[in-house]
Amino acid sequence: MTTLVPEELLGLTGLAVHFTGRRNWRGNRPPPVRAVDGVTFSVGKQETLGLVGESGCGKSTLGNAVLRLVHPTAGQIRFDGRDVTRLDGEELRDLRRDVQMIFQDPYSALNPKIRVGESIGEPLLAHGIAQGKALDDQVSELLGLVGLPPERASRYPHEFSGGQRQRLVIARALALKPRLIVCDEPVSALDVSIRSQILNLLMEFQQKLGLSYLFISHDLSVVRHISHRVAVMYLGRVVELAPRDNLFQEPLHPYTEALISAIPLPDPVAQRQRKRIILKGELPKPTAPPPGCPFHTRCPIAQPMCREKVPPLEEKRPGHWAACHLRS
Amino acid sequence: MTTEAPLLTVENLTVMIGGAAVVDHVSFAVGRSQVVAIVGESGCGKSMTAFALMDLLPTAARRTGGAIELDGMPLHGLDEAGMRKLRGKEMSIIFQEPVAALDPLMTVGDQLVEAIRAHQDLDKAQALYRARALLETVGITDAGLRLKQYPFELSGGMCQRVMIAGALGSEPRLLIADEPTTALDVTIQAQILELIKQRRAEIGASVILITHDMGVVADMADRVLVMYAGRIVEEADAFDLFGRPRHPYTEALLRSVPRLDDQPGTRLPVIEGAVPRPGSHVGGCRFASRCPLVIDQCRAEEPGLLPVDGGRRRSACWRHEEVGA
Repeated sequence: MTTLVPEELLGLTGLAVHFTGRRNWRGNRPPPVRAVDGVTFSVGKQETLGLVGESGCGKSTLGNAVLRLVHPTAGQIRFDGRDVTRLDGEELRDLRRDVQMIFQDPYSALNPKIRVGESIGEPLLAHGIAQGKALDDQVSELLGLVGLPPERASRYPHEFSGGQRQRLVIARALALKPRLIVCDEPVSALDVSIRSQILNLLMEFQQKLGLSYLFISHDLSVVRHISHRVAVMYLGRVVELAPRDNLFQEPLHPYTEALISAIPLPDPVAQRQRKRIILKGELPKPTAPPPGCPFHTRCPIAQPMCREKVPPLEEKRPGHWAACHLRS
Repeated sequence: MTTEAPLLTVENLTVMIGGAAVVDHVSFAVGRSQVVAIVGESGCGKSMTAFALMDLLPTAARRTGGAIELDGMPLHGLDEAGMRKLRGKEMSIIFQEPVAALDPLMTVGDQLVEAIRAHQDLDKAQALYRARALLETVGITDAGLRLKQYPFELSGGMCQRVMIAGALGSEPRLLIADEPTTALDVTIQAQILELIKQRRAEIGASVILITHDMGVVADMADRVLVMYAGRIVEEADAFDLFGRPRHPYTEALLRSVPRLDDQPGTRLPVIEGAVPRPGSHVGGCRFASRCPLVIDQCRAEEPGLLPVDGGRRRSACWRHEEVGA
């Protein structure tokens, strides 16, 4: 990739995650679910890469693979120039200091039976970084960082609101001073008035701490707001990857176009005049992806060749990649 | 809308859970063929309002007051048998979780047949024929196959189409849609909203659309009610509301959401604090603790929902003149 991309922190090459089902009574295996099917991209230092797509497109599985919570079937994951695809044991543990996560549901991400201070301090304890008084001090500092009073460390999760819990989850993710955070739908479960607080916090920490984010979301408005570059996934593949403004102003892939046009603008004048592309049909099942371009069954401009040949992800314009036979 | 009597009028509707009013003296009207959106965040009482209209409140909740009239007929005094005659015929509801709202142990066909035969004197074969026609009106291909399938065999979008087919089958005069697309993907959301618009136009039904998504409101609504902590804080025509809000909460809701046409990467305006818990209200305006325009009067005295802008709209704010200026 060209100069538009900052220095790589996380790199994926041909990453695939296939899930094989159990044998049935005849001893036959069902076809594997190709959740992630040959994904190549990078996340730069201090960059936010937004990863968007609809349910079942493989975006969360991709995030889990980066965290090494699921095993990649093929391909390579690099972190800071080093191949981390098959790390295990002590080395994997060390990687986790640098790569942390924030999940969607702050209600299930915190253990309801332990005090929030312990939850936040646990990574520090587990990695042998701090204990005793030093641990308490660091927990207080982390709570302050996310805008919560330090004395609330001795409370339990149920005593906090949804937005406050997401702040606690962020504090825990920041405890080890990571360099990359995989954020999987971090604001989707939150009310709109709380969402902006959390987004502001994430942007602020990127500036202050030099973090990189892999920001997974189905919400294009949120992704546009926070990302520097955006990748669009469909049925396990990246179909478009571009700097934010290029992607939103001149989308090249018909799926990206349809996704953008499907989001209602909160402005009745503009919204009711907009030309909208309403896709027909539903997402195909990832167990039986259609041959050729995975999008051809719903694509408004599909041609016969799209049914036969998988379009490669090509750099159509500098820094702007798309997988479509028909767009250049 | 101005000359004709409204289809639905609601006066001082109040719903209590335990000792707390989750819907607190809510009054509004829905005109004929009008789409009225109720917006607000979780816990503001928008779904409870809808359930109260259908008399489908959860067991912990109780309607303790208020008058509801559908086309001049009072609903608040009706018993369960009376409501049953109306539900699914004069007024229908579709829910947020389409897969959960259907009976998992019945085929799609059996559910539709049951709903059809509850109000129409048809035999099973006739009802099945009707069910098949209904599925076609909501854009389901292979209707014959779908009738024999169970909800788990269909996608969320498909289940929502089945719900809409059932809800609109009797051509009700009022459709209540409770977050009908929140659980669906955006490309499917676009399909379902289009379908609701089209079917609504065909049968001329009024719609109460409950949502937290201002984009969906802008797309669908004629009139908008904004709810906060159990109360309507603003009511206006959709174009007026988005053009210039007259309540600080509406303004904050509109501004704090990232949108496809804003300046990316900038700090988003924030509503500080959190929604007060139901029952914790002690007096004054419920939004006072989070409001940028708060003055002493707001803490002392709760503002009523009063006409502003020459009666075109209503706002419950002492300083409505200054909002959005």
